[in-house]
Amino acid sequence: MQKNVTAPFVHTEKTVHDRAIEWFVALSPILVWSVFMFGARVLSLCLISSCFAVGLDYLVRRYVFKMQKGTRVDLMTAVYGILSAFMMPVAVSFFVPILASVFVVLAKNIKPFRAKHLFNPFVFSAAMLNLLCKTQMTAFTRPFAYFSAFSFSIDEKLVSGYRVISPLQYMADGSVYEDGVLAQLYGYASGCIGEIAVAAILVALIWLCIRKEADWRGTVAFLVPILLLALMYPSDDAESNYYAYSVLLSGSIVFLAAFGTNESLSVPMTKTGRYVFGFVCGVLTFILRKTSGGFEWGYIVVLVMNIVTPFIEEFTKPKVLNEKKGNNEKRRNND
Amino acid sequence: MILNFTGGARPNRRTLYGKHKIKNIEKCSVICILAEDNARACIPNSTAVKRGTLLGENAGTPVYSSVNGVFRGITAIEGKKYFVVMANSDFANGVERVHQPETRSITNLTREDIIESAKKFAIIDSRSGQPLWKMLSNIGDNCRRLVIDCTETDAECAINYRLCIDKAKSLVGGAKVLIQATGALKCVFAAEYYRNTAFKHIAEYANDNKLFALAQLDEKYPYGDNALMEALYIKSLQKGQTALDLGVFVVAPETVIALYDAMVSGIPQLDRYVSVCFNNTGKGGNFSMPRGMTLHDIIECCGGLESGHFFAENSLLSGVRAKGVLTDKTRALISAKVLNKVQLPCISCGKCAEVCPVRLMPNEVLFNKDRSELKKYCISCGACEFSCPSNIPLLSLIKGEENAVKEA
Repeated sequence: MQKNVTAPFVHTEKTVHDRAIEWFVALSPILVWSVFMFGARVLSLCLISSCFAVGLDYLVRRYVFKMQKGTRVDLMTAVYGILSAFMMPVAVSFFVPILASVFVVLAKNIKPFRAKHLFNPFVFSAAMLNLLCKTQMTAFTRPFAYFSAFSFSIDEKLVSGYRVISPLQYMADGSVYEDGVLAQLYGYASGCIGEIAVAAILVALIWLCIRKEADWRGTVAFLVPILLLALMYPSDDAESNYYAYSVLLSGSIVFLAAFGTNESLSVPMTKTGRYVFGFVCGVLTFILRKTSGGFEWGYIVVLVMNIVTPFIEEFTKPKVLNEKKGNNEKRRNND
Repeated sequence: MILNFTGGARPNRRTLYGKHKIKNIEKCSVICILAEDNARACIPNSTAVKRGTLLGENAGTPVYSSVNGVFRGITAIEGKKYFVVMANSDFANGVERVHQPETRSITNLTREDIIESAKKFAIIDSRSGQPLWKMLSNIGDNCRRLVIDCTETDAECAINYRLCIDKAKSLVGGAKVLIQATGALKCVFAAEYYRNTAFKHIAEYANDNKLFALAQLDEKYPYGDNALMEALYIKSLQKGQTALDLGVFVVAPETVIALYDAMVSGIPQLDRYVSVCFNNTGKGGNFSMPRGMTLHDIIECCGGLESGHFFAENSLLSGVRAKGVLTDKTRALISAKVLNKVQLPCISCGKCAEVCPVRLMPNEVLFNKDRSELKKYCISCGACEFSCPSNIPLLSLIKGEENAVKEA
């Protein structure tokens, strides 16, 4: 326990836990939309992933890091758990969210530089699952095909009966998703449970920005270069505008731009750093997707950028005000 | 347009003290005016004194009794020396007039005349705690702007706001005197943007647009010289520089009012204006109290502090625990209580860097053993520690006060 023997004698009412609650509130529209699209199994996946993550993180904090009582439960772990569940298809077995929670806790507790995560926990878990459980992670089913909320795993035959190709998988063949941009924007397309509802993701981002829990800079810097590059280098198979919007709305791009660039412990703290982080992510993701489609390269790009985050932060540190030379030219009206 | 500066924190206002008119304090048992080492008394001990009686001299500035009572000489209390006067029960009745009011018009006064008046009327600037005559003597010929800093020291208090409303005429009159003294081309009244009533009252008297300007500032704290210069003129001060180096003379409204009132009435500055703020108790308000009043008397007059609470001087963000007597820099006393905070690991949220007025990254103190740069530029405003959702004692760490951290 710490007592304020010196100023400040007042403290912001916002604590780390309040911050996690803001994230829960922000993610709720996505969760509601996913449940509407894919049924109650979405809730089971999120619950398993977040509960296991919190429990495992508690054990790590208690027995490995030996943290004091009252500091062992981190609600942000539950947020990471939900986000990692959002990056799975609905038909995965329950062992996948359990495995995801292990990766979340692993990434969350590796902090080699300046107390920053080496990797974004939920992106790391998604990337690892895509490598280890590729079949499960690419078994996308059509919307409104509701599966049991309590079955540990879904029968493969049942899954294959509802199986469809996701917009990103369409792009791997050089074609584009044909059900329209609006279907991708509202989330009628197939895909991972939390990634398809782009509109809900944007609502979540706006909420987080209003509540000052997220910064729009990284997100904008991520999305704009992808949109511009897609307009500049369209596919032969589609009209350039349509192709650009499809690239932007397919896969995890918006999801990563909204949440991957706003996980404070794995992105630069500085405003310029966030621009740099988002911009490089956007450019690399587009290039890798264009040259080697079918896989969500966004995950890998974000993870690579996470590694260089401390260096970006160091190079984009703001100039201390007292060091700056007085700017005599700029003066305001009341002068 | 709302003028802004880099960083700054915005604590919630718990009670609105702006509606409390300035009241006179009703009880005072003793006054203790801080004396410098070379201070000397000019009357013997145990002399009966009146309000306005000259007690002695403190570093070239005369010291007057602010109450009716008995002078107890220059006495050492807890390692500091004070001019002590035991107050009578009629402590505020009647004033001994030692000087004549100024009868000349402002335009006929020279800088030397005004410095002389500021000295003989013992006007002390409540912003810097310096005697006004010394501040005026230090002005060269490059002073172009006079800024009257009507911002509060904390979101909680409203003494400057009340002064702007209740004493607008004296404020503008004093501003004209100081314009004459400083040679400034323009006078800017700067206050938080939502202080509309204050702006209205000032504008009633300061109707010469060429001479006066009103500046609406963002509601952020703390407003030091650097923040003011950045908000008003987009200029930043180098380490060790003051606003005067940029040609700007900054002064508190209380000082301006005191100078004008003293010159008009011939009575020196005997009282201080202070906001006494409590947390949602309905107590407190804005007070005019004798200079050198003790904290004990103030607490008694205001109905007592709740248990576990203490008074923070001027600001909850960067102030110190008030003790002993009212100092010349005290503009607000804000009740605060001991906060029990559980420190959590840094989440690198960037809030500390966002609110830092000098653009430091305060959380670096956790990872970087070399704190010299942080220590060098930190202005101890407390905004980083206030904003930290992980309750990390950043300010204590930067200042090298390890004890606070060890407790954590």
